[in-house]
Amino acid sequence: MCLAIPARITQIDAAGENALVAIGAVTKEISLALVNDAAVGDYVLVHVGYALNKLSEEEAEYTLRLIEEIGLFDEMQDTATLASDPLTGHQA
Amino acid sequence: MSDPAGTLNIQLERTSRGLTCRIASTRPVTAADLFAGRAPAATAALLPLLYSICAKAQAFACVASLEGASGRLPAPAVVARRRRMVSVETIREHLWRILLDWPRLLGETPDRVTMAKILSLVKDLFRLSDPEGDLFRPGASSVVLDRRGDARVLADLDDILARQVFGAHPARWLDEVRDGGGFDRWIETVDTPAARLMRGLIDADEAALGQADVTGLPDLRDADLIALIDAPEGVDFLARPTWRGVARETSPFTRRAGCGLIRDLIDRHGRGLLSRLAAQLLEVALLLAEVRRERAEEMPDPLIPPVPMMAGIGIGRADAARGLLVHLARVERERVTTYRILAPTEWNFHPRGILARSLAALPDAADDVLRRRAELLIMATDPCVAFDLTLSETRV
Repeated sequence: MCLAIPARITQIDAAGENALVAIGAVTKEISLALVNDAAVGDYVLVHVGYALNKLSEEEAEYTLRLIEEIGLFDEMQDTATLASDPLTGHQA
Repeated sequence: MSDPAGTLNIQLERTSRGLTCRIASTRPVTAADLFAGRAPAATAALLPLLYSICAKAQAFACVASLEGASGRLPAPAVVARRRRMVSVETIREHLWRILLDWPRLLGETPDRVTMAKILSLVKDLFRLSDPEGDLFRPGASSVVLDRRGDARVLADLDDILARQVFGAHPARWLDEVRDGGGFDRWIETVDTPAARLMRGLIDADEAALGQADVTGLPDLRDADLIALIDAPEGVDFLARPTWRGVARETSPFTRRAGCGLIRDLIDRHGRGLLSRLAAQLLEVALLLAEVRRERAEEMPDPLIPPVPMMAGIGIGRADAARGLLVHLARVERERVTTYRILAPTEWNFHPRGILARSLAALPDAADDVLRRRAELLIMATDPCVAFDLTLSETRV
């Protein structure tokens, strides 16, 4: 739903190019190529494997509270988890 | 691993009848329920924080729905400036694909350095167009612009795109690449990754891959959208939207399919990979021209402002990077009672939508070839979330 979740940087590699971030209970490796001066403990917005920009702690925590309020960290909503019937390329 | 923002799981399976495609989504389509009970002003302020990938398009649709529900009509200049911000954001989102993903699919290094510069310039444009950060507040009434600063940033953007994408100033590219002949000359003479990708698709006979007969989403009336989204089964519609029982497409390709260049490319290569990727590229140049024009002329509002359909309910729509974005707000006694969002990814990644049909139409090939072609089609359809692509054999 076009959501970008604030993630806290937990580790940065020696070259400063990649980082591990925590998004709720999930840990991800991301690229820091698009942001300047990111440090461990900073919050960043993550989009498909890249840190997009840094967020202030206040802004990040406020957004995280909103996300917790929706319950996204706890469970995926049943109505949104949809498996499809297979679609073939040779239908009439 | 679950991602709170959701993922698309795309499975291609070889069967005796060819490829089949399954798409499963974990996107949280009802997250906007969060805004029920809040004041319209608070909703307009919070929503772009949460929906921050296309925050300007989200803010545009949000404020339009809230103003519509309240019977407020914004000044044409305010709508035009808001729309300009959405255009700049769309340029940024397309360049993300063009600079980071297209080189990767050529086996080259993503151009992160240029993309970092683009992000910085786009932030400058946003700041110059909305220095107080209140343009998307319901009832915003004035617009300001630091014209000199804006012109300087746009000139920097033009220079970067001339070097790294178009091989010419974007306005000149639009002039020269207005039809199939101009496009051929461009891919033969320019050596940017974008031109190389297009040339490579034609040389490898891959330009027409992934053709499918999903038709574009028509321009739905507000009353139709309200009936679908605000219905008891509206949540199902948000997750798997159809119009008249059929999946539809809403994308840069459907927006630009009537342009001379794209019409020529469809004639030559069909409604497949090349035409779709070229539509993204063309849209960057066209939107840049619109953004420049608005700066020069204080362009009159080209949009019909939102007209309240009925007391207390409003529809907001934005031409977001990936297609039509629709918001519905119901407001009673200065409180939002219902808030729903219909995003283009749900149309385009519908289990029977354009991406599923395009992938199922691919010819079978070796795993690495099939995977690369599938990724190209996914990039051409452009999800706004991460995706997993798996290939598998027929289950016995």
